[in-house]
Amino acid sequence: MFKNYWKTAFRNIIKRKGYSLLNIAGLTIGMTCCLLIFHYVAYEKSYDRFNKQAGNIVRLRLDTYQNGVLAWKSATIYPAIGPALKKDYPEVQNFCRLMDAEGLFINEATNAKFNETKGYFADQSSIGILGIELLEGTAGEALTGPNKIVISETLAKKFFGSGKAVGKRVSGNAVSRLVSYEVTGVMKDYPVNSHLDIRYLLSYPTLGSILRLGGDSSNATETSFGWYDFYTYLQLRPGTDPDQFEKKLPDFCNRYINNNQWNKTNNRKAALHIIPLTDIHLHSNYNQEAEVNGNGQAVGFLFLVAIFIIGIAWINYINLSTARSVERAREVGVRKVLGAARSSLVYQFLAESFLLNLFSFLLSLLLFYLLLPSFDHFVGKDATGIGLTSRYWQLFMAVFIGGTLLSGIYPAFVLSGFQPIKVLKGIFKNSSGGLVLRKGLIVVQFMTSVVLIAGTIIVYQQVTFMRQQQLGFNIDQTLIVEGAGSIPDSLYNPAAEPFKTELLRQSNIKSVTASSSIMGDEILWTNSFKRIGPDNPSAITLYILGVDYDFISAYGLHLLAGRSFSKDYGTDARSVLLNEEAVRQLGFGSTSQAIGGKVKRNRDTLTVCGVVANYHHQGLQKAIEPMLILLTNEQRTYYSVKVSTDRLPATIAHISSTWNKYFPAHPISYSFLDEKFDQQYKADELFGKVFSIFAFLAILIASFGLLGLSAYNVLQRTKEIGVRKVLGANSQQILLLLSKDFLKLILVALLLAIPVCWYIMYHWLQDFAFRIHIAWWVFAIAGCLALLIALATIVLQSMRAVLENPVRSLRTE
Amino acid sequence: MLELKHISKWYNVGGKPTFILKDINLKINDGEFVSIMGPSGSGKSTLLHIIGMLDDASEGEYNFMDQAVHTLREKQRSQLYKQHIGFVFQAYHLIDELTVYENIETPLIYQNIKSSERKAMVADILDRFQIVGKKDLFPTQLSGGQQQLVGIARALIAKPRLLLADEPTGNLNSRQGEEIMDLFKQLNKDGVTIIQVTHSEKNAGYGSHIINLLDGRVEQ
Repeated sequence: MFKNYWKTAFRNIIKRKGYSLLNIAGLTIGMTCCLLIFHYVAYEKSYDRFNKQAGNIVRLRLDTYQNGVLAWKSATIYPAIGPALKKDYPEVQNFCRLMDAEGLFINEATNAKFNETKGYFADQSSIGILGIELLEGTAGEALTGPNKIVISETLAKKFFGSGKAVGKRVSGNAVSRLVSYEVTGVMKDYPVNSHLDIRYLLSYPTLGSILRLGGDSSNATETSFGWYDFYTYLQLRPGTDPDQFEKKLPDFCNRYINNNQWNKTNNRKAALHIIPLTDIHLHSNYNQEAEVNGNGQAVGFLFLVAIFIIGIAWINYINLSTARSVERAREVGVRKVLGAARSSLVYQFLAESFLLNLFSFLLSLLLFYLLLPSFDHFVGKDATGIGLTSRYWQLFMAVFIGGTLLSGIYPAFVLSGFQPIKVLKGIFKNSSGGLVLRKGLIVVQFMTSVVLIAGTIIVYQQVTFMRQQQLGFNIDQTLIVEGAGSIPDSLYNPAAEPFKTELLRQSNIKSVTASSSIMGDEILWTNSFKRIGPDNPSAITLYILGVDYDFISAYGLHLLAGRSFSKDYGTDARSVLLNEEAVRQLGFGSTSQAIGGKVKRNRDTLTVCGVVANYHHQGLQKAIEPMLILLTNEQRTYYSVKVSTDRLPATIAHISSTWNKYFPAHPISYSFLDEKFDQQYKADELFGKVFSIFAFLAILIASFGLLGLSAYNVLQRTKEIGVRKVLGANSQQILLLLSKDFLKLILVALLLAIPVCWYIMYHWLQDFAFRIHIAWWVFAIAGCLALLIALATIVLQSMRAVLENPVRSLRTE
Repeated sequence: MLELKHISKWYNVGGKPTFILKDINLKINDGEFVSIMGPSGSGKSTLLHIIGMLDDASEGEYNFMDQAVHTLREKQRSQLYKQHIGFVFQAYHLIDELTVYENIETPLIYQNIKSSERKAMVADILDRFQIVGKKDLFPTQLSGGQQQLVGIARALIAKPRLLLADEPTGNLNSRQGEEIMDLFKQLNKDGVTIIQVTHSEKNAGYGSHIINLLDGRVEQ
């Protein structure tokens, strides 16, 4: 019996070639999209799951409240929190702290230099907690005691070639000092799908010992409840409910942090929260994240899009098979007369839909593996090796089987329900109930398509808006040279000035300026300041930018009041510039009132000498933060070199050689500011691109369905068209007749799509501090586009019928 | 074999019942070859469909092989006609996607007969109808007469006691029609009860007994 089902199913698919092709094409595209998106989602969700204990590991984060207002959310916390939590709470089995270490390493034997920025000062416990596998060295003590380093396999090869690395020595820069490290371990390269990029780990006590060498005896790396630069991970005892544990943290903060005198006087409060290790990549977006994390919302969106696209393809199947049910009615009637029970007919039609789906699935599987490398390249992920995790295969199979059944079962019941007597007597007509459903499904398809198209337009508009907005500073032709971080101050300053002077001698170099941070980077240097005034205002956090004398003029920052830094004023070390936002938040009445005003941090009092207009230090996703610009001539994190466009390669070569002359220990590293700044929009741009592709595919599949339906519509009405033409109807009238019903549906879809799309995109835009307003014409364009595509599809199908000589269609009767 | 008592069939058109069949009383015995005749719209086909259990009567009793069909459920009725009744149509109604062989085999599949048994039965009937050479062709590759031959083979494959034929020669030329009627006569001799609806006096002549219908009533 089953063999018979498959045989008829197969022959039916072959016989109705055009119709099967439309279905298979739609389903194959839909399934391929679904597989690719699932692959992407699976990869994004695979982050940190390689860690076998991931379920018990959480990271702490810190919210700082100022006067009851949330002022600061950081991924990093104070170093003393971890030990205190372990001491007080039995559910904390262990903790580990990581602090950013960026620096240069020198192979002491060969004097070869390597600039390596991805590494951390880390507790010994981090080896176990972060799932680090040691290939050489003893896991239990590789990071105990100061001046030890564990390096990755790749780094070991780079530093020492193929020989054994353990026992060798490298010197590296840490906190402006050159420290000699003993290599105590080589770790397997840390997986790419982790929120941390770990190339090396320095033993945590090293940090304390360097500070002590610098004269700081406070033992801050173990006791500080104010220095928030430490990622802290907790290993909870198995069986601990993280939510329950999190509820104990406010009490902890009150005991250790909020009762501290400084916090009390400044009306500051800290709140600690935990985030599971595996949630960090997609759901953590705070200040000082270790790496740029993914966007959980975008991943969720894409997942929905995948389901919608494959849904559109299944709707095609339902619509086409029920619309063409008349063709199958006779067969159903005959089979029933021959003794078929309804159930066996249902099975037969299900077999047909299953076969069609299976065929599409196999095709899409082929396409999936063919497209995977280019797709990964396109989204900028190296996830090809990961493929689809078994969890997502299961999910896909569930979607596949569910969709196949759902889309197969309705037509199967409609088709198997025909009364043989009616069918055989020829008094059979399509039921109007099925017609309503079909219309509803077409509306859903086109609504989805319009939402995707309009959404794509809005994403593009927002990205373009961010790119074209005036930033408030001059970004053009700026070469950013990374400063030489490891040189001690005493050696650095004598080299910096001559370096600048020599560069400026070149006519193609217009200006050279140094600063602690550069546009496009998050400012990590912050401090609490209060305005000195009779009303005794409370402190607020200001973002500090350290610059030299030339920064303001080189970048063309707009001075609203007062003056810029100048060598003509001896006291400028105590003068600061504020931006408008800082003036507002500190509570100066106006920009002019701020001039000469005093601000205080700890015991340090500074005078405001000027106010600069707000500018976008970071991309337009971010709000403008209150900034304080400080004259710090020893700044050397970045040099900004303004160059003219002609003879650029020669200019760069000149800069490189000058650099090598003054900083021979450091390889030069430079980039262009406009490109660097633009990096901030890459993720949103990619989101727009991915969306536009899937929007296009969605409407393509939807028009496949329309193509099939209108073709069938024409077929059914051939006689009517013939009669109308004989009676004198012209081509336009016939076209209108054939497309009217479909166009009405698409208009309905458009009307429904507007509020849905507006709602979704309105929420999406809330992530951007500076955003566009959604314009009505976006929907007009999306609607017109959908309408045009639909119209083209229908006209294409109808033309033949319209142009045909009516005598032929009538003669066949 | 079967008996109809006071069978009526009507449809409500605009609130008023329109009778298709009115008070039909009929008894058909095993081995008869009955022809139902009458002008278009006299209710011939409806009567045949009621006898074949494809349609319900609005009123009256129908006994088929000692079972009261009008009291049976859909499933039992289907079981009954599946086993005992074969249908032949004017338009043949072969399934285009199936070969001659598969078309003939289909009723057996629906009766859950084993594959090996099916093979033997189909081979037997192909042989008997001398269409072995056509078994792998599709219906569209056959002439009308050949298609009807397949239709009859399919109707007979499950060895029904009763063969119902709705104008079996209506779409055929006279030579093909004669062949089909000769075949019916032969079948009847072999013991199959046949009821056919026909327009043709000549075809009706093959039967043992003629029922004339006019406006839903049997003309005496």
